[in-house]
Amino acid sequence: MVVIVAMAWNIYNIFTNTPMVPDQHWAQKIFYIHVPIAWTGFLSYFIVMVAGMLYLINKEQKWDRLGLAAAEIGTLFVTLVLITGPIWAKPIWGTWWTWEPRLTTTLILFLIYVGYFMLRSFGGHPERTSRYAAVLGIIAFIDVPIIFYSVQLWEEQFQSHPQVDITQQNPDIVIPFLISLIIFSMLFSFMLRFRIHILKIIDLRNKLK
Amino acid sequence: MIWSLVRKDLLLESRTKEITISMLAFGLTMIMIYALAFSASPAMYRSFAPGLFWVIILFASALGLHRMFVLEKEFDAFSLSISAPVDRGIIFLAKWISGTILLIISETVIIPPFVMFMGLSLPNNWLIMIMIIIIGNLGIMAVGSLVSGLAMRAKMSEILLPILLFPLVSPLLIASVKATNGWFQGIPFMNWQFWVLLMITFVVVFALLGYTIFDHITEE
Amino acid sequence: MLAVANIKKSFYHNPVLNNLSFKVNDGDVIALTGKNGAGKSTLLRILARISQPDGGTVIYNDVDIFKAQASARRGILYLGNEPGLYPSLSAIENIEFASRIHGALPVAEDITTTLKNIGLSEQINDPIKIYSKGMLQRLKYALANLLPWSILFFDEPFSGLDIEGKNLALDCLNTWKMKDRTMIFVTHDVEWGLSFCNRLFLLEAGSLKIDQSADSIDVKTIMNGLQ
Repeated sequence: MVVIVAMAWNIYNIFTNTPMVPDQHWAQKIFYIHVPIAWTGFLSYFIVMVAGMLYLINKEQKWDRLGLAAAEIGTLFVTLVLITGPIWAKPIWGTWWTWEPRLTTTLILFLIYVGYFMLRSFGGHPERTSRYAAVLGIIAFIDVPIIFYSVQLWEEQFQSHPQVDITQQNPDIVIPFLISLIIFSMLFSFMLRFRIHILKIIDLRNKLK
Repeated sequence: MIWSLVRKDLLLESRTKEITISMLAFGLTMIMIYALAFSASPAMYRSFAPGLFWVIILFASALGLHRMFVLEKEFDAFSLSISAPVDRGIIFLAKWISGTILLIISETVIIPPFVMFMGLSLPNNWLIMIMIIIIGNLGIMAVGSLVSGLAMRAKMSEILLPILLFPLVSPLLIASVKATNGWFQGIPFMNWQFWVLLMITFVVVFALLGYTIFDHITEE
Repeated sequence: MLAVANIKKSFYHNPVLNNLSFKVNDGDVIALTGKNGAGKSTLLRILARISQPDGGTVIYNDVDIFKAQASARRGILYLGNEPGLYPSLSAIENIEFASRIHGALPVAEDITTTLKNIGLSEQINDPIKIYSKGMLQRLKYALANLLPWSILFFDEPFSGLDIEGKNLALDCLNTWKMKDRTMIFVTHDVEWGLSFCNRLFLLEAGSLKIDQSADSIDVKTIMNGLQ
């Protein structure tokens, strides 16, 4: 409940209290949503990797549930990044899509996770797919830095998003941004715990059958 | 022990020739399809030849990898290797090496027609290009062997394998194309050597990762 | 030699093996029986580390085979229901490869002699995909005679064998038994199990309903268990 209220306030705050950036106007506001979602999405995938490692080490179902929940939410968030990115890009650069490093990395990661869910569905019995998914989660995140580095050097003409150093920005921008980040993290944590809870119930139901 | 496994893979291939034939036949077909679909001026061919080359190799590798692991599933042959006192990491390394060797063999057949149909004129220092090709192959096969282990027992493994392989291998693809392009355009090595370094990093990371983690995906 | 504790294995949330435990001593010859689908082959594959249990341990010579290095599993030989060999390689090539990965150096004459003794003197250089089921089964006996092992897991020792093949098989089995070798057989031939083995397991509902020495078992009980 708290989270919903906080999120509603967050959106409101973004609309009313943040300054208008001269050349970007309303489109720039997406920054307050797009970037926190991206960070939490990647955090989620990091959690998939850690959960995967823990699952392989001691095979406890809770790590598998954590991994799956984090994968689902991460993919959801990453999808939103891929949607808000173009929404931001169109007014500013005139095109829907640009092969900008961070967006491209996000796209590649999204595709890896499409494979992750296919593996979960088609990999065989769930007792095996848990193991395989854990391995894939580890491989995926280890690949991320390499992907990002290579994509960044790939096409020099595709500069990053307005590459702003957050700490040097006007506090009128930084503070709402941080608030948004915190609120999105809260949302993430809430969604994660909720999803894990549901997965736990599903597991219990499967056991009782 | 690795060599027993590699020997076995190569012996198997010399009997069936399934892997090399599927890779090179597919590669040649792809060259023709691209030539027909993108009939272009020689200058244009020159500009996208490096990229096209690696795309063809990647697709052919996916095919070859799939066959490599299908051969293990016939008659449940894989159970022999995994029930034996052989470290699973060693099995991974053997698949990695065998796969790379078979890919290189296929490439000797794919490359000449590729060069010919694209009307390319190649620089003289082809030793560097050979090195790039070998490193690229090692990279594809490292990730490929790992991912094949995952896809091997899955339904729709022919589709699952490329879907898992291609995104994971994308940095290698980028680096290989950049390096190949640098060589092809005659740009001094210094300017594009970091792409080769990136390729080598990729190979090392995934070879180590595969060796460490393969154990968890060999069992049913 | 082998201590199996609390093995659990499920497929699609259906438990096939449920808290399965037993010990195997040196020289034990065990018949593992049960209805179709009881999980006998699954159990054997877990013991050979081809399949991974969802819980429990398998300790071989005081080492947990799922945690230890591969060399700790030296001495385990698994002969499954499927041939477990490469169809495009010949009998000799398959045996050579199997020997090497089990840590033995194959000697060509030994291989050809053993193959002859097992009734496979023709076609030993042909790819084994042309072999009949009976020939493939005999090939397994050749493997077991040539590879070094301390414990043998054999799934359906008589499957596909004609009378001559079965006699050859019985010769091998009796020889091994006389040498006090440790073996676990999955079999549907309960009479042979009772006469040949010193222990009989009946796998039912995921655990061992019966785990007794063969002498003390009443045939009727077994047959009831298998209905």
